[in-house]
Order: sequence, then C-alpha cells, then structure tokens
Amino acid sequence: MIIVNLDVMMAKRKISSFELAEKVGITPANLSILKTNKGKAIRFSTLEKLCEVLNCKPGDILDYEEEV
Amino acid sequence: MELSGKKGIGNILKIFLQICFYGGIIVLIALPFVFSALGITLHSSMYVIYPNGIVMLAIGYKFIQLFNSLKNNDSFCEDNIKIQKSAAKLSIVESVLWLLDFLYSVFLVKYEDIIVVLGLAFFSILFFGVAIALYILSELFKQAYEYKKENELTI
Repeated sequence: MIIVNLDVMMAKRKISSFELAEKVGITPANLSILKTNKGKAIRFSTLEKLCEVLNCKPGDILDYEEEV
Repeated sequence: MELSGKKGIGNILKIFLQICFYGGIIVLIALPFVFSALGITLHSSMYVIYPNGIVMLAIGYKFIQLFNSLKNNDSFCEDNIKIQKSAAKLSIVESVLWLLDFLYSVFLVKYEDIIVVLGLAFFSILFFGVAIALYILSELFKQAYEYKKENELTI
C-alpha cells in the first residue's frame, strides 16, 4: 500500500497544516485526508504543488509498504 | 423542467405517490365496509387485494423515500441503494402473491373470467420485471456511489 509521509516532511520544513493547505490550494480537510492515508488518489497537480511548497521530491512524500 | 429541487419533476412525482399511498391506505381500510354496506360478495380470489395491497403500499413508501433524496439533490447515497434493493425484494414478494392468486384462480376455484385470470398472470410477470429493473438500478447506483466516493477522496 501507498503511505503518505506528509507529516514527516511538514515537520522537517516546519510548516503547519493550515499554511501548507493554503499554499497548495486545497482545503485543510482534504490535506487531513491525505495525511491520514484516507485518500483514494492524488492528482499530479496536487503532488506537484506539494513538492514545490515543501521543496522535495514525490518519493519524499509517498512510500510503498507491502500489506501484511 | 428540472429533475430535482423543490419545483422539480421528482417532487411532483413524490406528491403524486403520496396521494396514491394515503389513498391506498384509505381504500384498504374502507373496502370491507363499503362492500358490506352495498351487499356485494367478492370472489374469493379477490381477497388477494389485502396482502398485495399492503406490499404495494410498502413499495410506494420506498419510492416516496427515494424521491425525498431527489429533493435534497443527493441521489447517489447508500440509503438509496438500500431503498432500491428492498423495493426489488418487495416486488418479488408482490410477483409471487399475484402468481399464487393466478394459480388459485386457475386450479382451485376454476375462475372462468379469462380477462381476470390473464390479468393476474400479467401482474405477476410485471412485478417480476419491476424487481429485476430495480435490482439493476440499485447496482448502477452502487457503482455511481463508489465512483462519487472515489472522486471525493481524490485530492
């Protein structure tokens, strides 16, 4: 399964959820869905914006883990 | 003309169904009193009106619930899928009841009015068709609901 490590990157960049949501252009509720791994899919445009704001690569945000 | 909303065709249909529903209840309650007052004896197979009538009212009630969601502009929800599935099951019950009445009329009482007998068979087939249509519709709604949920969770 795909794991979203957004909170790790946010802690590294010392950015709050509200600020990140505002800069990316999504609602804090949607950002929370992403952070808690409840999302079904992520748009390339959202991923691009996240990488731009957090100054990182998609691999820093997304990870793959085998399901047990 | 709009489909949903307060002035939509869905709401007009809902009002029509409500009239049929409450009218049906009144008819079912009043029927024995009216017939006894008029001194009319019904053919025994006509007593199927009662169980059939009750199931039909239940189907009508399910459709009223369905049109309620149209008013709220929220058609693709879990509740509607459940409503359609239970309406399909009720239609199967209705179809079986009509079939039993048809068999009763043909084999036990040997009812001679061919139009009535054919009518009973027709209603049995009709409700079976309605049940299948409702089941297919509920599966389509289920698919649409899943797509909607997936779309909502695409960030």
